This record gives sequence, C-alpha cells and structure tokens, in this order.
Amino acid sequence: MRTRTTAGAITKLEKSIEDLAGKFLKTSQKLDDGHYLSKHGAQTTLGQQFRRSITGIAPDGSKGIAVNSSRFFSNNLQYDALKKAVQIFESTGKKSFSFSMEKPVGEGFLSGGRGFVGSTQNVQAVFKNGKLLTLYPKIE
Amino acid sequence: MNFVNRYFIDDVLSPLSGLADSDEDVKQYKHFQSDNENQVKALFHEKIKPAFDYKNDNIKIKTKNALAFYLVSDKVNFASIFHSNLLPFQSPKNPKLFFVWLWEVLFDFENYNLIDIKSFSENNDIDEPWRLL
Repeated sequence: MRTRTTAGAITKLEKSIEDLAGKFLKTSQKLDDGHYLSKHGAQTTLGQQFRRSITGIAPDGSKGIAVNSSRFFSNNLQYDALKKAVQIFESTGKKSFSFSMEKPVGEGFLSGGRGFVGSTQNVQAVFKNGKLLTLYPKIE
Repeated sequence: MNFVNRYFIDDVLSPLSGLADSDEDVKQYKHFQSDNENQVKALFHEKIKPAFDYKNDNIKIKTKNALAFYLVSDKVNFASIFHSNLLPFQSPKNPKLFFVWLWEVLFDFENYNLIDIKSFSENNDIDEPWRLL
C-alpha cells in the first residue's frame, strides 16, 4: 500500500515537472520569437510531423518546405537540450551547431516519405540575434 | 592515422541550417533554385564563405579533408546532409553537385581528387566542430 502510494506520488511529481518544463518552453519560445516548441515540441503529433515531411505544412500550421520533420519525446528532454544549447552558445559564441545529448531525445520522419527514425540522440540548435530560433532532434 | 568527420560538412552549412523553421527565411528563398550553379555559388559567396574564412585553421583543414574525402569516396549520402540541416529552400536534384559547388567556392577549384582517402578513417563525432572553437 505504501509502495503504491509512493509510486503514485512519483508519477504525479513527474507529471508536474513535465508540465512545468512545457510552461517554461512556451514562455521561452515567445520571448525568443522562436519556433522550437510549436514545430518540434512533444505536444506535436506524429501525424503532424509526417504531414510536414511530405507537404511542408508544419505542426503550427505554417506552410514551408517538406523537410525532415522531428519532435522531442518530452518537454523535459527539450528543456535539457535547450539548456545545453545555451551553454554551448554562451561558451563558444557559435550561432548554429549540432550536439549529442548522449541519450535518446526524439524521433521523426525523413523528408519526402523516405522513412521514420524512431530515436536520435542528436540535436541542432540555431540562434539568431542572440535568441534561440530553433532547436530540433536531428534525425539524419 | 588521420580522421575525417562528416559533421564538418554539416557545420560549414551552419549559416543556413535550421532556417526552414523560419517563415521569414523560407519566404526570402522562395524562388531560390538549388540546381542553378550561379545562384548557389552566389549564395555560398554571400553566406557560407565569409563564415568559413572566419574559422580557425584547424577547423578549415578538417572541413577541407571531410569534403574532399566524401566527394571522392561517396561514403556519405549528400542528400541526407542536405535534408538533415533544414535549409530554407527546395533540395537539389543532384545533391552531390551542390557540394561540389561548395568545394569550388571554398577552395577555389583545387582538385579534391588529390586526397588519398586510404590514409583517412572516419570518426563522425557530432560535437567536434563546436568543441574545437
């Protein structure tokens, strides 16, 4: 009984942390005028990502190019990736770079219907005018 | 043994990477033709070469080796490199040619075939390009 209660509390806590990370990302994206949550966030569906990879219509409804289309597995993982991206940006001054999170962080579809990648550890970050423009799981 | 890292090719494209996520940039490059040599080379001269020239010599050498190695060996799918970087324009019909033009702009028509690919091993470490700064 006690174990079940503890497990329930942990689940509730994890959900709270995930929700908090989501709120942080939402606020952060707004301040950055970025696209990383709306186009690559865990709240996007695989259906939306597939549609972008084929038609260029992104999960946020914007019409662009049919490109590799990916999402993070969770808000927490995207938050961790954002923190690492900011650390690299601040320590190197580099505005656009790829890096490894050394654990699976996301999934997505290769452009033009070339297939689905179920897991990647790699992330691409792009800063513009000192703000994070985008941050996405790099699947190829 | 010398090492080559394909992520230096990704890295050299970094001034354009991820811009497919920017509606503003997608609009800017709406009529850009990635199969048109003049347009592509003009873009490389404007956006890629100045950033490349600013890099340290170690990164320049590693980029040059990686580009030459993969152009000669064909051990990489150039379409994959193009697609993985979310560039803000349509992909070229011949992605390898796109990277040949990149070589010609960055290295002034040197012959990339002169590289001895047998003297290199691959070590595709995604973190190396930013760690070398």
